[in-house]
Amino acid sequence: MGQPIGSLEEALLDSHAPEETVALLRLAAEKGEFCLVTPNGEEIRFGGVVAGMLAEMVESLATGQQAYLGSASAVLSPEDAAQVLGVSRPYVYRLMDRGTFPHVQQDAGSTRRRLLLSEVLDYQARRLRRVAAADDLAERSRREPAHEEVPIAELARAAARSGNASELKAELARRRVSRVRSGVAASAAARDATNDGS
Amino acid sequence: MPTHRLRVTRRALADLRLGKIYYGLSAEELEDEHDLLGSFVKNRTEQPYGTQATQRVRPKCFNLHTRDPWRGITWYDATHDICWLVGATSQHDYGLFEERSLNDEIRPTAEDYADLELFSQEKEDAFIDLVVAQAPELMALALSQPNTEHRMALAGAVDTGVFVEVLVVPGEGTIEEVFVSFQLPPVPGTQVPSDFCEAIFWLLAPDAQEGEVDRDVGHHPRPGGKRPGEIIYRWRKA
Repeated sequence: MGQPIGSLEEALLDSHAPEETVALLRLAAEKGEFCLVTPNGEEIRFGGVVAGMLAEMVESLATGQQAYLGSASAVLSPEDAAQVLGVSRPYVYRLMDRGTFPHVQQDAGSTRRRLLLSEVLDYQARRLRRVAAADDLAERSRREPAHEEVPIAELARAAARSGNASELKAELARRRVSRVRSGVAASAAARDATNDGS
Repeated sequence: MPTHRLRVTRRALADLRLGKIYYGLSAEELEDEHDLLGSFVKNRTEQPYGTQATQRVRPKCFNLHTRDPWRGITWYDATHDICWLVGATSQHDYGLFEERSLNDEIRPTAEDYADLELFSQEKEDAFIDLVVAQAPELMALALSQPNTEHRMALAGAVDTGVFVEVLVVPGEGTIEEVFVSFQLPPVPGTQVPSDFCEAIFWLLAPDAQEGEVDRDVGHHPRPGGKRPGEIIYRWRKA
């Protein structure tokens, strides 16, 4: 299994806020190099890729996620994978049976299975991206005013003829926001109703 | 057959000490993760209401029992046909929910409804671009070879079939009926927004007129007819 990196406090020993550190490391990654100065003044130069890795690590720790140091080909037992993901072991087996991790390995002469750390982390990242997208959508449903719907047929026809689907995509996005708003409105109406009719 | 979906709010997941990674999954997907979730699926699949209303809680909820000490409450959103597990407690009583109700912390939040979305914005946008590019080829092929179903996994994701049936109607001559069918990947407890299928249909058939189109058609002229879970549009060409 990859080596877990402890807490943010263990990783960051200076007074910079984590966001500031991440921003500096991202800048170094963009510049393509950065220099580490040891307490006795010695300088060690690194390529930008190392700065990018450090930025990822600090960002993960700062947002309460676990960070691991390991090669992409490191393998995990289902128990370790459950720990990394913060799910139960049976759930990992369920995901494996469903083919979520394409390269599950089986120990020779045994039924024990192993997962690639990289695939486990990919799955985690996909799930968290999805949560972040939902958070963003919920925020938009609070912020954006209600819109008047434009018929999908009209916009899709125009997209098919021009090859440009930007108006169609924008309408679908507005309807996505409307669906969220409609859910919240239904629950508020039920809360305020004197009789739910069940 | 019951049509409602079973979902778990983020607050209820937190009550069960289940983390972010579980957000947005259907209850069926989660049922092995906690006894109360198993009970939720077992007791609300057939009937979205319970038998015992939770006292002094708004909106009107129903108690959910499982092995002690866990208790939960569920609320049925009849407008959207979703039964929600909205809270859980290990305290063996329902007092917590009464307190939450006073703070309007029972009903699902915007985040919970946002979690219902099957596709992310990014994914949907990319999908639409691919459909715009692929749809003309599929429709042209089907129109050139009537009475044969032509299928394509549009954008590599939605198995779409186009079948053009030529009918001879006495007094009217020949009529072409175009059947567009979508077999969407089965994701337990999820629902594809109708807007999405609507967009694909009109990208495939931009020349159709609103009055010529029937949605949710119950049959298909291919041998074997309509398949389970299939969504079918019919365009009766003038």
